[in-house]
Amino acid sequence: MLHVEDLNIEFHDHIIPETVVYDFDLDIESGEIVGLVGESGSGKSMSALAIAGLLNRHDARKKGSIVFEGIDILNCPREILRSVQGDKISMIFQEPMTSLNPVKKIGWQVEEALRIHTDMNKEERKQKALEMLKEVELDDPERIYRSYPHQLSGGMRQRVMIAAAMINSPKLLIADEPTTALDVTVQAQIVSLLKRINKEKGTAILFISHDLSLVRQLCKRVIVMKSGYIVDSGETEEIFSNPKHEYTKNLISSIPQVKLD
Amino acid sequence: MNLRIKKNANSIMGIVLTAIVVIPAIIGIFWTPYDPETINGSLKLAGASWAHPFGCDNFGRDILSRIMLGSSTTFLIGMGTVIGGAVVGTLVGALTGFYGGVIDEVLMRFNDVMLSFPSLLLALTFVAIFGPGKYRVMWALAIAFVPSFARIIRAEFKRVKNMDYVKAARLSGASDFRIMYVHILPNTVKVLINAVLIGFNNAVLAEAGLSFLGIGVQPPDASLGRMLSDSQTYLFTKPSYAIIPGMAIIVMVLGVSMIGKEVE
Ligand SMILES: Nc1ncnc2c1ncn2[C@@H]1O[C@H](COP(=O)(O)OP(=O)(O)O)[C@@H](O)[C@H]1O
Ligand SMILES: [Mg+2]
Repeated sequence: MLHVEDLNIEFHDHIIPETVVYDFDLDIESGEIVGLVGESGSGKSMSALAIAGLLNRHDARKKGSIVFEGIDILNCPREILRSVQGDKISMIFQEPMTSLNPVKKIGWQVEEALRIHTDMNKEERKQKALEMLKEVELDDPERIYRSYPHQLSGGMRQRVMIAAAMINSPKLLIADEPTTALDVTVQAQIVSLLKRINKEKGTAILFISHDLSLVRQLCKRVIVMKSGYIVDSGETEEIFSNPKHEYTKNLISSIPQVKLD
Repeated sequence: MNLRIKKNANSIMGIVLTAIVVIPAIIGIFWTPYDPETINGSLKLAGASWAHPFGCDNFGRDILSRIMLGSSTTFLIGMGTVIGGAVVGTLVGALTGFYGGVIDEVLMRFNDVMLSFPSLLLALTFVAIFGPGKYRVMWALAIAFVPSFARIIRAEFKRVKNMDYVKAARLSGASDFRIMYVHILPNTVKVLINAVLIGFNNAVLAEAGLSFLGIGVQPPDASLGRMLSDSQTYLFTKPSYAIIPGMAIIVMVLGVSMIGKEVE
Protein backbone atom coordinates (compact mmCIF):
# COMPACT_ATOMS: atom_id res chain seq x y z
CA MET A 1 0.00 0.00 0.00
CA LEU A 2 2.81 2.40 0.92
CA HIS A 3 6.20 1.96 -0.64
CA VAL A 4 9.08 4.29 0.22
CA GLU A 5 12.42 3.75 -1.42
CA ASP A 6 15.74 5.57 -1.09
CA LEU A 7 14.16 8.65 0.40
CA ASN A 8 16.68 11.42 1.05
CA ILE A 9 15.66 14.75 2.52
CA GLU A 10 17.93 17.75 2.24
CA PHE A 11 17.41 21.26 3.52
CA HIS A 12 18.75 24.02 1.36
CA ASP A 13 17.87 26.93 3.57
CA HIS A 14 21.43 27.31 4.83
CA ILE A 15 24.63 27.95 2.90
CA ILE A 16 25.76 24.38 3.44
CA PRO A 17 22.88 22.04 2.55
CA GLU A 18 21.97 19.70 5.33
CA THR A 19 20.74 16.15 4.77
CA VAL A 20 18.45 15.02 7.55
CA VAL A 21 17.25 11.68 6.17
CA TYR A 22 19.41 9.20 4.20
CA ASP A 23 18.26 6.24 2.07
CA PHE A 24 15.03 5.69 3.95
CA ASP A 25 13.08 2.57 2.94
CA LEU A 26 9.68 1.59 4.27
CA ASP A 27 6.81 -0.65 3.24
CA ILE A 28 3.45 -0.69 4.94
CA GLU A 29 0.70 -3.13 3.99
CA SER A 30 -2.91 -2.23 4.67
CA GLY A 31 -3.99 -2.93 8.20
CA GLU A 32 -0.45 -3.13 9.50
CA ILE A 33 1.08 -1.20 12.41
CA VAL A 34 4.71 -0.28 11.89
CA GLY A 35 6.84 1.39 14.54
CA LEU A 36 9.45 4.03 13.86
CA VAL A 37 11.79 4.68 16.78
CA GLY A 38 14.89 6.74 17.38
CA GLU A 39 16.17 9.50 19.60
CA SER A 40 14.90 13.01 18.99
CA GLY A 41 16.47 14.70 15.98
CA SER A 42 16.98 11.41 14.18
CA GLY A 43 14.69 12.37 11.30
CA LYS A 44 11.48 10.58 12.22
CA SER A 45 9.20 13.57 11.84
CA MET A 46 10.82 14.66 8.59
CA SER A 47 10.28 11.21 7.07
CA ALA A 48 6.68 11.21 8.31
CA LEU A 49 5.95 14.68 6.95
CA ALA A 50 7.39 13.66 3.59
CA ILE A 51 5.15 10.59 3.46
CA ALA A 52 2.13 12.74 4.31
CA GLY A 53 3.08 15.13 1.50
CA LEU A 54 3.55 17.94 3.99
CA LEU A 55 7.16 18.90 3.39
CA ASN A 56 7.16 22.25 1.71
CA ARG A 57 8.33 21.84 -1.84
CA HIS A 58 10.93 24.54 -1.94
CA ASP A 59 12.40 24.34 1.58
CA ALA A 60 13.25 20.68 1.51
CA ARG A 61 14.59 18.77 -1.46
CA LYS A 62 13.60 15.15 -1.62
CA LYS A 63 15.10 12.31 -3.62
CA GLY A 64 13.85 8.77 -3.98
CA SER A 65 10.23 7.74 -4.22
CA ILE A 66 7.14 7.60 -2.05
CA VAL A 67 4.29 5.71 -3.66
CA PHE A 68 0.98 5.42 -1.87
CA GLU A 69 -1.67 3.31 -3.59
CA GLY A 70 -0.12 4.03 -6.95
CA ILE A 71 0.17 7.78 -6.33
CA ASP A 72 3.62 9.32 -6.51
CA ILE A 73 3.46 11.57 -3.43
CA LEU A 74 6.63 13.49 -4.22
CA ASN A 75 5.80 14.43 -7.81
CA CYS A 76 2.06 14.32 -8.30
CA PRO A 77 0.09 17.56 -8.92
CA ARG A 78 -1.15 19.43 -5.86
CA GLU A 79 -4.82 18.60 -6.58
CA ILE A 80 -4.10 14.87 -6.56
CA LEU A 81 -2.12 15.22 -3.34
CA ARG A 82 -4.96 17.17 -1.72
CA SER A 83 -7.48 14.54 -2.72
CA VAL A 84 -5.41 11.94 -0.86
CA GLN A 85 -4.68 14.04 2.20
CA GLY A 86 -7.36 13.78 4.86
CA ASP A 87 -9.16 11.14 2.86
CA LYS A 88 -6.65 8.32 2.61
CA ILE A 89 -3.71 9.57 4.69
CA SER A 90 -4.08 11.35 8.03
CA MET A 91 -1.68 12.37 10.71
CA ILE A 92 -1.69 13.23 14.38
CA PHE A 93 1.01 15.23 16.08
CA GLN A 94 3.03 15.22 19.26
CA GLU A 95 1.93 18.41 20.93
CA PRO A 96 -1.78 18.34 21.77
CA MET A 97 -1.55 22.00 22.78
CA THR A 98 -0.67 23.25 19.30
CA SER A 99 -2.34 20.69 17.09
CA LEU A 100 -5.82 22.18 17.48
CA ASN A 101 -6.75 25.65 16.27
CA PRO A 102 -7.30 27.81 19.38
CA VAL A 103 -10.02 30.00 17.85
CA LYS A 104 -12.23 27.25 16.41
CA LYS A 105 -14.67 24.97 18.18
CA ILE A 106 -13.82 21.27 18.41
CA GLY A 107 -16.81 20.21 16.34
CA TRP A 108 -15.82 22.50 13.49
CA GLN A 109 -12.29 21.12 13.49
CA VAL A 110 -13.34 17.48 13.59
CA GLU A 111 -15.63 18.10 10.60
CA GLU A 112 -13.04 19.83 8.43
CA ALA A 113 -12.08 16.79 6.35
CA LEU A 114 -15.77 16.04 5.75
CA ARG A 115 -16.37 19.59 4.57
CA ILE A 116 -13.57 19.20 2.05
CA HIS A 117 -13.97 15.63 0.85
CA THR A 118 -17.70 14.90 1.04
CA ASP A 119 -20.93 16.67 0.16
CA MET A 120 -22.63 15.93 3.47
CA ASN A 121 -24.87 18.67 4.80
CA LYS A 122 -24.42 20.37 8.14
CA GLU A 123 -26.59 17.98 10.10
CA GLU A 124 -24.99 14.86 8.62
CA ARG A 125 -21.54 16.23 9.37
CA LYS A 126 -22.51 16.94 12.95
CA GLN A 127 -23.89 13.44 13.42
CA LYS A 128 -20.71 11.95 11.99
CA ALA A 129 -18.48 14.15 14.17
CA LEU A 130 -20.42 13.22 17.31
CA GLU A 131 -20.14 9.57 16.36
CA MET A 132 -16.36 9.93 15.99
CA LEU A 133 -16.00 11.75 19.31
CA LYS A 134 -17.84 8.87 20.92
CA GLU A 135 -15.69 6.37 19.11
CA VAL A 136 -12.49 7.83 20.58
CA GLU A 137 -14.05 7.28 24.01
CA LEU A 138 -14.77 10.88 24.92
CA ASP A 139 -17.55 11.36 27.45
CA ASP A 140 -20.30 13.83 26.65
CA PRO A 141 -19.54 14.33 22.93
CA GLU A 142 -22.23 17.04 22.67
CA ARG A 143 -20.37 19.23 25.14
CA ILE A 144 -16.96 18.54 23.60
CA TYR A 145 -18.40 19.36 20.17
CA ARG A 146 -19.21 22.86 21.41
CA SER A 147 -15.96 23.39 23.37
CA TYR A 148 -12.84 25.30 22.48
CA PRO A 149 -9.46 23.48 22.68
CA HIS A 150 -8.35 25.38 25.80
CA GLN A 151 -11.28 23.86 27.67
CA LEU A 152 -9.92 20.32 27.23
CA SER A 153 -7.04 18.40 28.80
CA GLY A 154 -4.06 17.15 26.80
CA GLY A 155 -5.38 13.60 26.63
CA MET A 156 -8.82 14.79 25.50
CA ARG A 157 -7.27 16.95 22.79
CA GLN A 158 -5.25 14.01 21.52
CA ARG A 159 -8.46 11.98 21.31
CA VAL A 160 -10.08 14.85 19.43
CA MET A 161 -7.12 14.84 17.04
CA ILE A 162 -7.59 11.12 16.46
CA ALA A 163 -11.31 11.65 15.84
CA ALA A 164 -10.54 14.39 13.30
CA ALA A 165 -7.86 12.29 11.62
CA MET A 166 -10.08 9.20 11.42
CA ILE A 167 -13.30 10.86 10.28
CA ASN A 168 -12.91 9.87 6.63
CA SER A 169 -11.67 6.37 7.55
CA PRO A 170 -8.19 6.84 6.03
CA LYS A 171 -6.12 3.87 4.92
CA LEU A 172 -3.02 5.15 6.71
CA LEU A 173 -2.73 7.05 9.97
CA ILE A 174 0.65 8.55 10.81
CA ALA A 175 0.98 9.08 14.55
CA ASP A 176 4.04 11.24 15.28
CA GLU A 177 4.86 10.71 18.95
CA PRO A 178 1.18 10.96 19.86
CA THR A 179 1.79 10.08 23.50
CA THR A 180 5.08 11.82 24.28
CA ALA A 181 3.45 14.88 25.81
CA LEU A 182 1.00 12.87 27.90
CA ASP A 183 1.35 11.27 31.30
CA VAL A 184 1.78 7.52 31.59
CA THR A 185 -1.81 6.43 32.27
CA VAL A 186 -3.14 8.55 29.41
CA GLN A 187 -0.36 7.18 27.18
CA ALA A 188 -1.58 3.65 27.75
CA GLN A 189 -5.17 4.67 26.96
CA ILE A 190 -4.18 6.34 23.69
CA VAL A 191 -2.11 3.32 22.67
CA SER A 192 -5.00 0.94 23.30
CA LEU A 193 -7.33 3.29 21.43
CA LEU A 194 -5.03 3.20 18.41
CA LYS A 195 -4.87 -0.57 18.68
CA ARG A 196 -8.64 -0.80 18.72
CA ILE A 197 -9.02 1.53 15.74
CA ASN A 198 -6.52 -0.57 13.82
CA LYS A 199 -8.39 -3.75 14.62
CA GLU A 200 -11.91 -2.47 13.98
CA LYS A 201 -11.30 -0.29 10.94
CA GLY A 202 -8.26 -1.96 9.44
CA THR A 203 -6.39 1.36 9.32
CA ALA A 204 -2.66 0.94 8.86
CA ILE A 205 -0.65 2.96 11.41
CA LEU A 206 2.86 4.34 11.27
CA PHE A 207 3.55 4.77 14.96
CA ILE A 208 6.46 7.06 15.72
CA SER A 209 7.94 7.10 19.18
CA HIS A 210 11.18 7.20 21.06
CA ASP A 211 9.71 4.80 23.58
CA LEU A 212 10.54 1.22 22.61
CA SER A 213 8.29 -0.32 25.22
CA LEU A 214 5.23 1.38 23.68
CA VAL A 215 6.32 0.24 20.25
CA ARG A 216 6.64 -3.31 21.51
CA GLN A 217 3.05 -3.26 22.77
CA LEU A 218 1.65 -1.98 19.51
CA CYS A 219 3.77 -2.90 16.51
CA LYS A 220 4.68 -6.15 14.87
CA ARG A 221 7.37 -4.51 12.80
CA VAL A 222 9.75 -1.74 13.75
CA ILE A 223 12.32 0.53 12.13
CA VAL A 224 15.11 2.10 14.16
CA MET A 225 16.60 5.42 13.06
CA LYS A 226 19.71 7.24 14.16
CA SER A 227 20.95 10.58 12.79
CA GLY A 228 19.03 10.22 9.56
CA TYR A 229 19.90 6.57 8.86
CA ILE A 230 17.89 3.42 9.36
CA VAL A 231 20.11 1.28 11.56
CA ASP A 232 17.83 -1.66 12.24
CA SER A 233 14.52 -2.96 11.01
CA GLY A 234 12.46 -6.11 11.22
CA GLU A 235 9.97 -7.97 13.40
CA THR A 236 9.70 -6.24 16.79
CA GLU A 237 10.29 -9.40 18.82
CA GLU A 238 13.23 -10.36 16.63
CA ILE A 239 14.81 -6.95 17.17
CA PHE A 240 14.20 -7.16 20.90
CA SER A 241 15.77 -10.57 21.28
CA ASN A 242 18.51 -10.07 18.74
CA PRO A 243 19.35 -6.39 18.10
CA LYS A 244 21.88 -6.02 15.29
CA HIS A 245 23.04 -2.50 15.88
CA GLU A 246 24.81 -1.20 18.98
CA TYR A 247 22.40 1.74 19.08
CA THR A 248 19.36 -0.56 19.20
CA LYS A 249 20.93 -2.51 22.05
CA ASN A 250 21.39 0.70 23.98
CA LEU A 251 17.80 1.74 23.32
CA ILE A 252 16.56 -1.61 24.59
CA SER A 253 18.73 -1.63 27.66
CA SER A 254 17.65 1.90 28.54
CA ILE A 255 14.00 0.85 28.88
CA PRO A 256 13.29 1.17 32.58
CA GLN A 257 12.62 -2.28 34.02
CA VAL A 258 9.86 -2.39 36.54
CA LYS A 259 10.38 -5.36 38.84
CA LEU A 260 7.54 -6.35 41.07
CA ASP A 261 8.38 -8.77 43.83
CA MET B 1 -13.73 33.53 17.60
CA ASN B 2 -14.08 35.18 20.95
CA LEU B 3 -13.17 38.82 20.97
CA ARG B 4 -14.00 40.69 24.12
CA ILE B 5 -13.34 44.04 25.66
CA LYS B 6 -12.46 43.69 29.31
CA LYS B 7 -14.94 45.43 31.57
CA ASN B 8 -13.02 47.80 33.78
CA ALA B 9 -12.67 51.50 34.53
CA ASN B 10 -10.21 51.92 31.67
CA SER B 11 -12.41 50.47 28.98
CA ILE B 12 -15.55 52.21 30.22
CA MET B 13 -13.71 55.54 30.32
CA GLY B 14 -12.42 54.81 26.80
CA ILE B 15 -15.89 54.12 25.48
CA VAL B 16 -17.30 57.26 27.13
CA LEU B 17 -14.51 59.47 25.76
CA THR B 18 -14.82 58.02 22.26
CA ALA B 19 -18.60 58.43 22.35
CA ILE B 20 -18.32 62.09 23.37
CA VAL B 21 -16.73 62.84 20.00
CA VAL B 22 -18.04 60.08 17.78
CA ILE B 23 -21.76 60.40 18.54
CA PRO B 24 -21.92 64.12 17.63
CA ALA B 25 -19.73 63.30 14.63
CA ILE B 26 -22.19 60.66 13.39
CA ILE B 27 -25.11 63.04 13.94
CA GLY B 28 -23.07 65.68 12.12
CA ILE B 29 -23.04 63.59 8.95
CA PHE B 30 -26.82 64.04 8.68
CA TRP B 31 -27.73 67.11 10.69
CA THR B 32 -26.09 70.13 12.30
CA PRO B 33 -27.82 72.98 14.23
CA TYR B 34 -26.79 75.49 11.57
CA ASP B 35 -25.40 75.19 8.07
CA PRO B 36 -21.68 74.86 8.84
CA GLU B 37 -20.74 76.87 5.75
CA THR B 38 -23.10 79.87 6.01
CA ILE B 39 -21.10 83.04 6.54
CA ASN B 40 -22.59 85.72 8.77
CA GLY B 41 -20.56 88.94 9.20
CA SER B 42 -22.55 90.11 12.20
CA LEU B 43 -21.59 87.00 14.21
CA LYS B 44 -17.87 87.20 13.48
CA LEU B 45 -15.94 85.69 16.43
CA ALA B 46 -19.11 85.88 18.53
CA GLY B 47 -18.77 84.50 22.06
CA ALA B 48 -20.79 81.64 23.54
CA SER B 49 -24.52 82.17 23.73
CA TRP B 50 -27.66 80.05 23.97
CA ALA B 51 -27.99 80.16 20.20
CA HIS B 52 -24.31 79.34 19.59
CA PRO B 53 -22.99 77.40 22.63
CA PHE B 54 -19.39 77.36 21.33
CA GLY B 55 -19.60 80.78 19.69
CA CYS B 56 -18.80 81.56 16.07
CA ASP B 57 -15.61 81.61 14.01
CA ASN B 58 -13.94 84.37 12.03
CA PHE B 59 -16.58 84.07 9.28
CA GLY B 60 -19.42 84.04 11.76
CA ARG B 61 -20.04 80.28 11.22
CA ASP B 62 -21.44 78.29 14.14
CA ILE B 63 -18.49 76.47 15.81
CA LEU B 64 -20.66 73.67 17.23
CA SER B 65 -21.96 72.84 13.74
CA ARG B 66 -18.48 72.95 12.32
CA ILE B 67 -17.10 70.76 15.11
CA MET B 68 -19.80 68.19 14.44
CA LEU B 69 -19.12 68.18 10.72
CA GLY B 70 -15.36 68.45 11.23
CA SER B 71 -15.27 65.50 13.63
CA SER B 72 -17.26 63.43 11.18
CA THR B 73 -14.86 64.29 8.36
CA THR B 74 -11.86 63.45 10.52
CA PHE B 75 -13.56 60.29 11.79
CA LEU B 76 -14.41 59.12 8.28
CA ILE B 77 -10.91 59.89 7.01
CA GLY B 78 -9.51 57.88 9.94
CA MET B 79 -11.88 54.98 9.26
CA GLY B 80 -11.30 55.03 5.52
CA THR B 81 -7.57 55.11 6.03
CA VAL B 82 -7.41 52.15 8.40
CA ILE B 83 -9.92 50.10 6.44
CA GLY B 84 -8.06 50.70 3.18
CA GLY B 85 -4.66 50.20 4.80
CA ALA B 86 -5.78 47.11 6.71
CA VAL B 87 -7.48 45.40 3.76
CA VAL B 88 -4.60 45.91 1.34
CA GLY B 89 -1.97 45.38 4.06
CA THR B 90 -3.64 42.13 5.18
CA LEU B 91 -3.76 40.88 1.61
CA VAL B 92 -0.08 41.66 0.99
CA GLY B 93 1.01 40.43 4.43
CA ALA B 94 -0.99 37.21 4.15
CA LEU B 95 0.35 36.28 0.73
CA THR B 96 3.97 37.14 1.48
CA GLY B 97 3.92 35.59 4.95
CA PHE B 98 2.26 32.43 3.69
CA TYR B 99 4.21 31.81 0.52
CA GLY B 100 7.58 33.40 1.34
CA GLY B 101 10.07 33.09 -1.48
CA VAL B 102 11.36 35.72 -3.87
CA ILE B 103 8.21 37.85 -4.10
CA ASP B 104 8.17 38.03 -0.32
CA GLU B 105 11.80 39.15 -0.22
CA VAL B 106 11.31 41.83 -2.87
CA LEU B 107 8.08 43.18 -1.41
CA MET B 108 9.41 43.22 2.12
CA ARG B 109 12.61 45.06 1.17
CA PHE B 110 10.38 47.61 -0.58
CA ASN B 111 8.25 47.66 2.55
CA ASP B 112 11.29 48.28 4.77
CA VAL B 113 12.20 51.27 2.66
CA MET B 114 8.66 52.63 2.95
CA LEU B 115 8.65 52.01 6.69
CA SER B 116 11.89 53.88 7.17
CA PHE B 117 9.96 57.07 6.39
CA PRO B 118 7.53 58.32 9.03
CA SER B 119 4.02 57.64 7.69
CA LEU B 120 3.19 61.35 7.90
CA LEU B 121 6.08 62.15 5.57
CA LEU B 122 4.99 59.37 3.26
CA ALA B 123 1.44 60.70 3.28
CA LEU B 124 2.85 64.15 2.55
CA THR B 125 4.53 62.76 -0.55
CA PHE B 126 1.33 61.14 -1.74
CA VAL B 127 -0.66 64.30 -1.07
CA ALA B 128 1.91 66.14 -3.17
CA ILE B 129 1.21 63.63 -5.96
CA PHE B 130 -2.60 63.45 -5.63
CA GLY B 131 -3.21 67.03 -4.50
CA PRO B 132 -5.18 68.12 -1.39
CA GLY B 133 -8.85 67.53 -0.56
CA LYS B 134 -10.55 65.17 1.86
CA TYR B 135 -10.84 62.07 -0.34
CA ARG B 136 -7.34 62.45 -1.69
CA VAL B 137 -5.98 62.78 1.85
CA MET B 138 -7.76 59.56 2.71
CA TRP B 139 -6.20 57.77 -0.26
CA ALA B 140 -2.77 59.16 0.52
CA LEU B 141 -2.97 58.08 4.16
CA ALA B 142 -4.36 54.66 3.28
CA ILE B 143 -1.44 53.98 0.93
CA ALA B 144 1.01 55.29 3.50
CA PHE B 145 -0.49 52.90 6.08
CA VAL B 146 -0.31 49.75 3.94
CA PRO B 147 3.34 48.88 4.76
CA SER B 148 2.89 48.79 8.52
CA PHE B 149 -0.23 46.63 8.28
CA ALA B 150 1.51 44.36 5.78
CA ARG B 151 4.43 43.87 8.11
CA ILE B 152 2.31 43.06 11.14
CA ILE B 153 0.09 40.59 9.29
CA ARG B 154 3.03 38.97 7.51
CA ALA B 155 4.70 38.26 10.85
CA GLU B 156 1.46 36.75 12.16
CA PHE B 157 1.02 34.54 9.09
CA LYS B 158 4.62 33.39 9.33
CA ARG B 159 4.09 32.51 12.99
CA VAL B 160 0.77 30.70 12.55
CA LYS B 161 1.53 28.84 9.31
CA ASN B 162 4.06 26.60 11.07
CA MET B 163 1.67 25.56 13.81
CA ASP B 164 0.66 21.90 13.86
CA TYR B 165 -3.00 22.83 13.44
CA VAL B 166 -2.19 24.39 10.09
CA LYS B 167 -0.33 21.23 9.09
CA ALA B 168 -3.40 19.31 10.22
CA ALA B 169 -5.61 21.57 8.10
CA ARG B 170 -3.39 21.04 5.08
CA LEU B 171 -3.51 17.34 5.75
CA SER B 172 -7.27 17.40 5.73
CA GLY B 173 -6.94 18.47 2.11
CA ALA B 174 -7.70 22.19 2.54
CA SER B 175 -6.65 24.50 -0.31
CA ASP B 176 -4.15 27.31 0.22
CA PHE B 177 -6.94 29.87 0.12
CA ARG B 178 -8.97 27.96 2.68
CA ILE B 179 -5.94 27.58 4.95
CA MET B 180 -5.15 31.28 4.80
CA TYR B 181 -8.70 32.55 5.09
CA VAL B 182 -10.37 30.06 7.40
CA HIS B 183 -7.53 28.61 9.46
CA ILE B 184 -4.89 31.33 9.80
CA LEU B 185 -6.70 34.66 9.47
CA PRO B 186 -8.97 34.22 12.53
CA ASN B 187 -5.83 33.69 14.60
CA THR B 188 -4.50 37.08 13.55
CA VAL B 189 -7.66 39.02 14.38
CA LYS B 190 -6.53 40.06 17.83
CA VAL B 191 -3.34 41.60 16.50
CA LEU B 192 -5.23 43.07 13.57
CA ILE B 193 -7.80 44.80 15.81
CA ASN B 194 -5.05 46.37 17.86
CA ALA B 195 -3.25 47.52 14.74
CA VAL B 196 -6.51 49.00 13.42
CA LEU B 197 -7.14 50.96 16.61
CA ILE B 198 -3.59 52.29 16.75
CA GLY B 199 -3.74 53.00 13.01
CA PHE B 200 -7.00 54.90 13.44
CA ASN B 201 -5.38 57.18 15.99
CA ASN B 202 -2.36 57.73 13.81
CA ALA B 203 -4.65 58.52 10.88
CA VAL B 204 -6.60 61.09 12.93
CA LEU B 205 -3.36 62.74 14.01
CA ALA B 206 -2.00 62.60 10.46
CA GLU B 207 -5.14 64.20 9.04
CA ALA B 208 -4.88 66.94 11.66
CA GLY B 209 -1.22 67.45 10.80
CA LEU B 210 -1.75 67.59 7.05
CA SER B 211 -4.76 69.88 7.32
CA PHE B 212 -2.96 72.09 9.81
CA LEU B 213 -0.19 72.48 7.26
CA GLY B 214 -2.87 73.51 4.76
CA ILE B 215 -2.38 70.55 2.43
CA GLY B 216 -5.12 68.31 3.81
CA VAL B 217 -8.82 69.08 3.90
CA GLN B 218 -9.52 72.29 1.99
CA PRO B 219 -11.95 75.13 2.82
CA PRO B 220 -14.89 75.37 3.00
CA ASP B 221 -14.84 71.68 4.16
CA ALA B 222 -14.40 71.36 7.91
CA SER B 223 -12.19 68.87 9.66
CA LEU B 224 -10.62 69.01 13.11
CA GLY B 225 -7.20 69.69 11.61
CA ARG B 226 -8.60 72.30 9.25
CA MET B 227 -10.28 74.12 12.17
CA LEU B 228 -7.04 74.09 14.15
CA SER B 229 -5.30 75.60 11.17
CA ASP B 230 -7.99 78.30 10.71
CA SER B 231 -7.91 79.22 14.38
CA GLN B 232 -4.15 79.94 14.58
CA THR B 233 -4.56 83.66 13.84
CA TYR B 234 -7.09 84.06 16.65
CA LEU B 235 -5.24 82.04 19.26
CA PHE B 236 -5.03 85.04 21.62
CA THR B 237 -8.24 86.86 20.76
CA LYS B 238 -10.45 83.73 20.82
CA PRO B 239 -8.59 80.76 22.32
CA SER B 240 -11.74 78.59 22.50
CA TYR B 241 -11.77 78.46 18.69
CA ALA B 242 -8.54 76.42 18.83
CA ILE B 243 -9.14 74.63 22.11
CA ILE B 244 -12.42 72.99 21.07
CA PRO B 245 -11.15 71.10 17.97
CA GLY B 246 -7.90 70.38 19.83
CA MET B 247 -9.85 68.81 22.69
CA ALA B 248 -11.97 66.81 20.25
CA ILE B 249 -8.82 65.28 18.75
CA ILE B 250 -7.30 64.51 22.14
CA VAL B 251 -10.49 62.99 23.55
CA MET B 252 -11.10 60.77 20.50
CA VAL B 253 -7.50 59.52 20.32
CA LEU B 254 -7.32 58.93 24.07
CA GLY B 255 -10.67 57.12 24.11
CA VAL B 256 -9.75 54.79 21.24
CA SER B 257 -6.37 53.94 22.71
CA MET B 258 -7.94 53.18 26.10
CA ILE B 259 -10.35 50.77 24.42
CA GLY B 260 -7.48 49.26 22.42
CA LYS B 261 -5.60 48.31 25.56
CA GLU B 262 -8.52 46.29 26.88
CA VAL B 263 -9.36 44.19 23.81
CA GLU B 264 -8.53 40.53 24.24
N1 LIG C 1 14.52 23.72 8.25
C1 LIG C 1 15.51 22.88 8.62
N2 LIG C 1 16.77 23.03 8.13
C2 LIG C 1 17.74 22.18 8.48
N3 LIG C 1 17.59 21.17 9.32
C3 LIG C 1 16.38 20.95 9.85
C4 LIG C 1 15.27 21.79 9.53
N4 LIG C 1 14.18 21.34 10.21
C5 LIG C 1 14.61 20.27 10.93
N5 LIG C 1 15.92 20.03 10.71
C6 LIG C 1 16.75 18.94 11.29
O1 LIG C 1 16.25 17.69 10.87
C7 LIG C 1 16.62 16.71 11.81
C8 LIG C 1 15.52 15.74 11.97
O2 LIG C 1 14.45 16.33 12.66
P1 LIG C 1 13.12 15.52 13.04
O3 LIG C 1 12.69 14.71 11.88
O4 LIG C 1 12.15 16.52 13.56
O5 LIG C 1 13.59 14.57 14.21
P2 LIG C 1 12.71 13.65 15.15
O6 LIG C 1 11.29 13.77 14.75
O7 LIG C 1 13.27 12.29 14.96
O8 LIG C 1 12.94 14.13 16.53
C9 LIG C 1 16.99 17.44 13.08
O9 LIG C 1 18.36 17.25 13.31
C10 LIG C 1 16.69 18.88 12.79
O10 LIG C 1 17.67 19.71 13.37
MG1 LIG D 1 9.71 14.51 15.92
